[in-house]
Amino acid sequence: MMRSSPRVILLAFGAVILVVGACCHLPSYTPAFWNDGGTVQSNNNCYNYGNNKRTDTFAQPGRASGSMATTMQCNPVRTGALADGLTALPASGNCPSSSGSEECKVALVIWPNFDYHWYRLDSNGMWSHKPGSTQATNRDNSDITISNPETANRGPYTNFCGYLCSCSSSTEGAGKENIN
Amino acid sequence: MNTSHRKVRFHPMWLVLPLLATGLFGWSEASAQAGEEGVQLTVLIYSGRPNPTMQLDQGAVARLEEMLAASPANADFDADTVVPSILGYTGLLIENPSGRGKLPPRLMVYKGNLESQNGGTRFLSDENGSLEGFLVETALASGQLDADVAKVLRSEVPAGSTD
Repeated sequence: MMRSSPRVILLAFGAVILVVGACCHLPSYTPAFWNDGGTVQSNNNCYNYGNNKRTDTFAQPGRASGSMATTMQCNPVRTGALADGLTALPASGNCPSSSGSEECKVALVIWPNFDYHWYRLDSNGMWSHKPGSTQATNRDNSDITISNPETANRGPYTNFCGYLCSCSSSTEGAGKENIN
Repeated sequence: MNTSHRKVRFHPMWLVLPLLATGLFGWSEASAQAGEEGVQLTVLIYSGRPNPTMQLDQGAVARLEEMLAASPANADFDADTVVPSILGYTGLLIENPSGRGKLPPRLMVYKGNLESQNGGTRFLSDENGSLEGFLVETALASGQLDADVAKVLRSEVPAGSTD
């Protein structure tokens, strides 16, 4: 009778951990986690929030993967985010979803030559964001809840770059993308 | 032939003294560093990129203290912070981690409202926007701001808002 070697068992166990760990879930709109008026709020920006991942580093697209954007235009920032592990939005317009795992749609906008900003789609079907070190919110610059980032009042962030998919989490701050 | 030589005896204090000196030097250096940690001004303008920051000199700090002391309480302010969650310019942040002078550890100002954080939070009025205007002028005069950011600041807080 053949017995599985310890190495095979360990490998199988590791594979299970990898698969389970990679499950993505839509975030719920939970601004209180981010709006502590202290460390979390001050040190996590729109990119942290969009990916639902607290790093306390004011994360920058591409920094974790060595491809940080240096010019504030759609392509370089988008490329940086893709290098971090975010994925392109499929032609269907919906982020991948299967077997209990669902990726979160995020939107990128640009203040040309100045800055970038991200929005995320929450489990309630509405969008939310965190403008820099200010509080996370589901409202735009006109104080209207955001149903569509393309038509929301985005202040000076006039360029709409498109959407990507992020492996988020139902636990606030625990998104799975490799950002820093 | 007898060669006499004096043996140099090792004393444990030889180990302790250099360590003490290093510790004292380190302490002094750390103390100096803590003492040198000044008052920092941050322009709250970006969402993704880090916001521009600079140190305020003693003269600016002294003037800021005067203006803050003269700012009246604003009992009617009904939000939980003066800094709005919008895209674009959202005010100025003063941080005083060393507790220098009479400034609170954190002070925010935006469009006529001041928020002072020192254990608790107090809201004050920045009458005529003079305190915000002063800080903007100070930031612009420092030459440390990117020209595009300077332009945005000037449009948000026009000249003439200074006391």
